[in-house]
Amino acid sequence: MIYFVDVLLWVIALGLGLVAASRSRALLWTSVREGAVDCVRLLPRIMLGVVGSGYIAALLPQEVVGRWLGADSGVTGLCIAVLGGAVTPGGPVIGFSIGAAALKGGAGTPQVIAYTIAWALFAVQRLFIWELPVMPERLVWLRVMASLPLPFLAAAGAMLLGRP
Amino acid sequence: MTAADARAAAGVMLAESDSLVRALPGLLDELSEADRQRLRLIGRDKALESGQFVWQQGDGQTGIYLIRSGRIRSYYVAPSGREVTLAYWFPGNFVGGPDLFGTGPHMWTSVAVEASQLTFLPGPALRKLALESATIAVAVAVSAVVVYWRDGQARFLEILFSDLALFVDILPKVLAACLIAAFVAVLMPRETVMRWVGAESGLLGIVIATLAGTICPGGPITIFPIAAAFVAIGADTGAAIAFITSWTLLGYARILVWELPFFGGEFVIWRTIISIPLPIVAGFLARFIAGRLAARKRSEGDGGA
Repeated sequence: MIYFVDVLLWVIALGLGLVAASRSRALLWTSVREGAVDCVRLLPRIMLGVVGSGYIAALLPQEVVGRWLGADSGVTGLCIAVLGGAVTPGGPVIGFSIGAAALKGGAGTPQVIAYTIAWALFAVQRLFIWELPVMPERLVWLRVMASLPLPFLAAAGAMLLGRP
Repeated sequence: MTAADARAAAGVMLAESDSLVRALPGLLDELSEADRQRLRLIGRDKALESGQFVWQQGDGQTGIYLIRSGRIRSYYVAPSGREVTLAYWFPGNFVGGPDLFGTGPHMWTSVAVEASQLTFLPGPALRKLALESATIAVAVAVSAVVVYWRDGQARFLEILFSDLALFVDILPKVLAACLIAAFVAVLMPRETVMRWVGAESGLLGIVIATLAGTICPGGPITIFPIAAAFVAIGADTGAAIAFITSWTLLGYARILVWELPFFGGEFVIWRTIISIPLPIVAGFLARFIAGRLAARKRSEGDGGA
């Protein structure tokens, strides 16, 4: 069970590799090389996040995190998580590091789910840097409005299922 | 940026013809393919006819323009109205450099002197690209030092070793995820996905858009132009928004490469299952809000008429 995810990922990778190979050998090798290069490029950042989030979590006062974002923090905790997600600056490393640190530091899973989803949907900085310059303004605000309930729906789903 | 123009020669200064200037390397030539890809992801292509302005003196600065083909003339308009040519720029050069560092009005005008193709790199996105990893690195370094100082060496090493073990555990997952991402990118080109988003309307359209968002390869900035393009050619807003939402919440690359290493299998699997209906909800909600707004606009229009 521990290796389930690993096995699944490698089966998918091998399957896709076979499809690529059936198109052409060159295609297979360029993709393998590209994937490997990407992996090497990502490793320092992921290492920074995974190893670093442990130190950030160690600094977070557990009682405070538990009280405001813990499993019993209810709707208030969810709202804090959603707001926190929306104002988290920067790219994936930062958002995921903070989420992982909160989880290690005693936050409840529905709250962390709400946080990651809110951050993925609303990150204010990304909204202004990426979205508004590229998409029509109307579409951006429509998207934001339509997305408002989603973190709460996801947290409710997690609570109903009782998982993870 | 497509393969640099055959005339890779890059000339600066006042030479009016490429043949007069010594060949210079293009700005991106020295970068690794991966880094070039990152730049391409934030770039937007722009084609100019001869005589069209890239910007005019006094315009606000927004970013830099890489020249892929053609020729750009930069000139200063003196108070007397005389134009002072500063330089001609060729493929491989870029124009708008100061914007990278500050914002303010352009001090001169840049105009295409022949049909030219440029890649626009927005300044804020470029700066963000440069700073992204630095912020968290500083936070981690500070936290590690504080933990060492406050809790002692034993605790410092304990955290280090347990997280390193976690890191080693996720290595094979990250490699597999990167391979999957690379295979999907070649087997499922973005153009194929684009065709799907605009395909249908109704529930089917939103479901197809959700699927397309899940498997659409590319970085954050490729998604928004695709969605914008679809709305521009008249595709359903709900489908476009389901597409963006799906890519944000269910995009395979983000889940495999980022979320899995940080949160572990169980959290990610349940988070994903819970999120599956969300893009569809967002799509319908967007359609509903757009419908209401349109209705109100109509009634206001009637009232005013």
